Amino acid sequence: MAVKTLFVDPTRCIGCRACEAACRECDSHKGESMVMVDFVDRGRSVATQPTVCMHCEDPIAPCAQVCPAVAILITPDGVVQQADPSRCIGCRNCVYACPFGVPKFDVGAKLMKKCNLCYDRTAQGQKPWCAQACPTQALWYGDFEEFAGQRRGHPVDLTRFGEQQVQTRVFHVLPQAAQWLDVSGLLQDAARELHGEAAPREEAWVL
Amino acid sequence: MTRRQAPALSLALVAALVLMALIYAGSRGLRDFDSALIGYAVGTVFALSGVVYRYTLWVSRPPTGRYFRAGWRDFLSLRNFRRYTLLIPKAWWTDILAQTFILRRGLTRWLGHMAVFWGVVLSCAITFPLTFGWIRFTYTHPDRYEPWVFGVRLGSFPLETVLAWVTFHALDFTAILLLAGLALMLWRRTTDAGLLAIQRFGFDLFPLVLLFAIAVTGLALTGSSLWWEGRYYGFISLTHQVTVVGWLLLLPFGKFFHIVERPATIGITLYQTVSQDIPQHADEQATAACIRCSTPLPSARFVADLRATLGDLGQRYDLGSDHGVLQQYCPACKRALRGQAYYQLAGKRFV
Amino acid sequence: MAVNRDIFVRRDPNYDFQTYGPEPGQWQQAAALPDQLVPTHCCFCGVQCGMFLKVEGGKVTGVEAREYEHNRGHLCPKGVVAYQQVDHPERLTHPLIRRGGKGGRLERASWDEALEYVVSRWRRIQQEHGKDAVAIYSGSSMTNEKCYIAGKFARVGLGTRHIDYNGRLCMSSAATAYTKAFGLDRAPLPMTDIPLADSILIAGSNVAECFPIVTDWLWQARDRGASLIVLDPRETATARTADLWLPVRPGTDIAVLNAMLRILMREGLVDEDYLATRVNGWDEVRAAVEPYTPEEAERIAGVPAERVVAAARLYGRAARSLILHARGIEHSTHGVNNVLACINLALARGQVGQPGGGVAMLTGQGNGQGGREHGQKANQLPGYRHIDVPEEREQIARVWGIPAEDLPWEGAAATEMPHLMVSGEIKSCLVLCSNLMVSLPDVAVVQRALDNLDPLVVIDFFLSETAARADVVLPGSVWCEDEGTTTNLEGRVVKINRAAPPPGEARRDWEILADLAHRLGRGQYFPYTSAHDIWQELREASRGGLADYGGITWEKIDRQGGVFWPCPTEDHPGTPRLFTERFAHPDGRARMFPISYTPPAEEPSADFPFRLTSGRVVYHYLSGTQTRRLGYLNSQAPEPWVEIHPRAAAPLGIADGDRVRVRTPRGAMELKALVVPTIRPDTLFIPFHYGNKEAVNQLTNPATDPTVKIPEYKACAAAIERLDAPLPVLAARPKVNYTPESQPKMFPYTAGETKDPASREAKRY
Repeated sequence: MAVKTLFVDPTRCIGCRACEAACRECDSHKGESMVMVDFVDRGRSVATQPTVCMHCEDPIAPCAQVCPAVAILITPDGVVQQADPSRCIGCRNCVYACPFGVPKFDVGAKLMKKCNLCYDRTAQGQKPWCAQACPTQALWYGDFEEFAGQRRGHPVDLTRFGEQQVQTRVFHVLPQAAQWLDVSGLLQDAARELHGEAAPREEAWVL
Repeated sequence: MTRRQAPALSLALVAALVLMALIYAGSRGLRDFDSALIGYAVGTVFALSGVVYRYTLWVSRPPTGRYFRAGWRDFLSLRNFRRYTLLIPKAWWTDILAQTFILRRGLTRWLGHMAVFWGVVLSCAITFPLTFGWIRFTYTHPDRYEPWVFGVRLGSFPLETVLAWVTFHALDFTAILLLAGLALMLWRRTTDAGLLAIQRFGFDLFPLVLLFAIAVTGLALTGSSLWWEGRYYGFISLTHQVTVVGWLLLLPFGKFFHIVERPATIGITLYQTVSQDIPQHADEQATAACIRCSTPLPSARFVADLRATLGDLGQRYDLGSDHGVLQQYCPACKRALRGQAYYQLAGKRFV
Repeated sequence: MAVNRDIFVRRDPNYDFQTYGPEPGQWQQAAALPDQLVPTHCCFCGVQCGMFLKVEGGKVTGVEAREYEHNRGHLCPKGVVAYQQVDHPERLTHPLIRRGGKGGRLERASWDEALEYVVSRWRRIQQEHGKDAVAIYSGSSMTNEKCYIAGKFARVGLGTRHIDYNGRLCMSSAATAYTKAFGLDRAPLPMTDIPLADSILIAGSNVAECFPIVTDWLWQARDRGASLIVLDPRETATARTADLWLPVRPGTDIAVLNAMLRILMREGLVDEDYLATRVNGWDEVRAAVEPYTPEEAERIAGVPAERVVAAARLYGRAARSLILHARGIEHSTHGVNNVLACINLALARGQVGQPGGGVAMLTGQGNGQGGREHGQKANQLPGYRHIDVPEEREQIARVWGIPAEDLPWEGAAATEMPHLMVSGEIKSCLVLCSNLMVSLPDVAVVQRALDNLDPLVVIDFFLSETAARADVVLPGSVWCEDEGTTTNLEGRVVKINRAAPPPGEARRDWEILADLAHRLGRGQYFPYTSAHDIWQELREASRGGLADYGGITWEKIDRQGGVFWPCPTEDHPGTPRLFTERFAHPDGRARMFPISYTPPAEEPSADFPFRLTSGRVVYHYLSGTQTRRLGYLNSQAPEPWVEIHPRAAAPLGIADGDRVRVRTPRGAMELKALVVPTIRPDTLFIPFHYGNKEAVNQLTNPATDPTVKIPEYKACAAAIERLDAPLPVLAARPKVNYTPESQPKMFPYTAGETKDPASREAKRY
């Protein structure tokens, strides 16, 4: 499988937002970042995670499927592109349909914008700007074999939201072997822990 | 042939038949029909049936159909008309006539697009009736012209006036407007690094080249009759006809279909305004805000319709227990949820 | 539930476009195809990442990745937007002069007027008050060539003894500790060696935010299975995933480091062969660490004893171990000792000189390494020579073509200069590449000092907080408007190339200094026509010194991808790894120094119950003069905040996002509270990149390390309260361990006090 794609490993992310800054440098959307870095919960941790378009393969691009204007095109090799400016009619279906919270919407320009996997750069053999800049390589670009050869972690391209399963072109890197990233199941675990079912943690310090 | 294609084909056929009937009627039983222009007329008939076919298929897609029906329902409501009387005219202005949203995408882009848009639209508005025989000028002695519109004669006017000159050269003006717009657009497309990197020849450049050929050959017709004593007229005329017919046949399929799609934004604007104002789906938990951070979502009806659309596509993003459905969250919270799930798995580990 | 937007500024990242940074029009212009890619390095931080600048029609329009050995094409957010300084609308494009005197406005002036005014004032001051009444306060975020000429300008152009630079606030304690222990001040190994380590201890550095690019090398080591231990009062992004986080009380690091060394001893993890053959002083150290039991470390430093033991085992059992340290332990009244305690650990494990092992400082400033080698330091001459050592004075005097007697003696340290300005001993100062109003501790004193100068002359490319108080402001150039070399935190000399001319009438800094020298009648010593001329002289001057650049040429830097000093001859490839065979002391052996815990100068009391520490955020660089003007960066962190633990905040009624007041004995400031559990409950943290009412240095303690005069930014006593809390009790006092009265003598020392060989050794920093 020599398909080059992005691997997202939030454990390596340091929240520096170099990816956002770099994304803004792309000639095709200067000044606008299509990558997003979010604090997971700053009230509890400094943990951050980057979000790029996952380029859903199965079901193929929910954003494109719900687009009334057929504005979101998918390249033959599975890259889901941002809305074609001539077609996008500004309904925002894609923004809210996307299971990963990726598309951005420019209200004034009535235009959805999102990550194109930098096909302008990748076509010339360069890495997408975000992965090129990423100082910690939490965003990593290359093919699966290369990844396995260089890095730790277990890449999965399946994410589950309850019964709904989404297979994506972009991989999440998990710290342990798993079939998928089970968002709903893990959230329920988290809620159980938060409500005191887990043992209190030992304090890291002595006052 | 699928279930969706059959009605689309029928509608396309009906549209073609209606247009042909109208051509017959409007040209006084083909008496006003200019047989030299028959290529254009035939091309237009094909273009129309193609557009109708494609449009029907388009609005029968689940997401489009939902908006299509809701938009028309909202439009045909008297109450909505009273409440939002100015909304539709305003939307016509911002979305179609002045295209102010393109201005937000860039000034040159807007200037270029405005010029091309008006160049094309006005040219079509002149050409179609001419080629259908709906407008015709007859010459009466000694120096007057009589315009016929849809079989009805509308007075007459003298030959040697500004009005006459402007009327006969109207297509030259629209062609010049078109060329100005094309020049701006081509300039952008050849100098902007971003566009250079991502544009595709078939979708982005070829349409410009085609319009350029149409405008140039059209102007050359005038040039030939005015200054070159009609030399090459036949050849130029044929070329012009070929390019125009090519454009007509491309209309339903390529880049130019967006001309037909664009008015849908008016429906969307209406839909969104109406849904924000009236909680029509009282049976839903009628909150139009993200259930995690309370950021407003477009509207409760929007969320319900979107979920229904996803349902039509066989997708359901139910997070279970009290987490609700993914579409009830704003994009930032969707990302945060995924992050929380990930960190539930990873904790403070390094991979 | 915390909503995961940016910490305070509620932006809407889903709908909000192009709000920050250049206007959309400028971006459009920048979208043209570049006609040239200029290879250069970033201007920020000591890593000096390689990058290309896109140039189109003489304008810098963007940045492109450059595969360079140590950053491998990666860039942090600062690096990505650095280029936007070049055509920045706030650039100074012509000289400014305060014609109405203090209190007047800065008005446009011609170069002739501005320079003539400065020169005439300086002449008068030096005639009336002696040569030392004019001082130079320099910086190290500029090329080696500029640093070199700054030092030469002070000693030869002005003939003043008072020149020091902002590296005093940054690297002086690490530099001195390395000189004392190893005889040479440089990180002993290249960054590319980090993945060879099996265990990495990071002491007082938030690598993730301060050196994002170094993080990649750390993560590579961890991919290979290396363990990571972080010593930091905050659970930073670096500490978050670490195998072990040691949440130390600010200012008490020695207790932990010594306790770790004691455990190594007890558990037989000390490399006795190495100590016997390569190190002096082990026996004294062995005795000195004996009192530091894990329980004692827990009592002093607040780190659970089990964690200290675990850390010692994790570190001590690794075949190859590396300690990385930075300002967290160095900004201290015992900064040198903190570093020496780290060095003791590394030497005891026999790691220094091994590939991927040992100890390394993370130099903060862009040219923090090169800037401290070429003679802009109070006691230093080019090539890391000492200004009070006769033979080294002779060598440099010969290169400069002046009699050695004309060379001044050691002058005041940067942290001492404000006091001399207040007392009137320094009448005028030329500040370049520094923003004292943000960077020096106790801003109130600094402000009085600067306002006491007539004239205060500032060379800068933006109107910094310091430049805004100046009497004459001379517009300089940003990094890519000049060429030259910098030396990064590995000791790698890299080449900065020129991508654009300075805007308007602005000039390159070395041209300004050379012009001033001409006008002072010393032009014959500054005959430069290009930065390369200065470079050639620098090479000559450094030849034979500790930091020997003699064999480095610009061509060789290009060819090799940087050259590590020392590089004595042109056929020498440079020295990436130091101390592999011998240390730089004459006997070739390293030295260990017994270190005991001393508390910070100021400690919490009932009135000031917290320890306040300051630090960086990833979006800003030093005093923020540059980064606060770059829209994207500033939008991410537009104002300072104070981090406080929920357990500390709750009793005080402080909620996340509230505006609060933080007080220390020196002042108070208002800012927003970030209530998060990622900091010790007895500690407050405020980032330091902001000016005026937002400067944390209104609060920090100006107490300094007795030998190197580095201030204690990282620990002082503080109180925090809601804005509606009753006003402070006037008699409030912190626990003071170390007052201006009890601290060692500040400048002036008697000139030439280092002349005898014993004290010459002692002063080699």
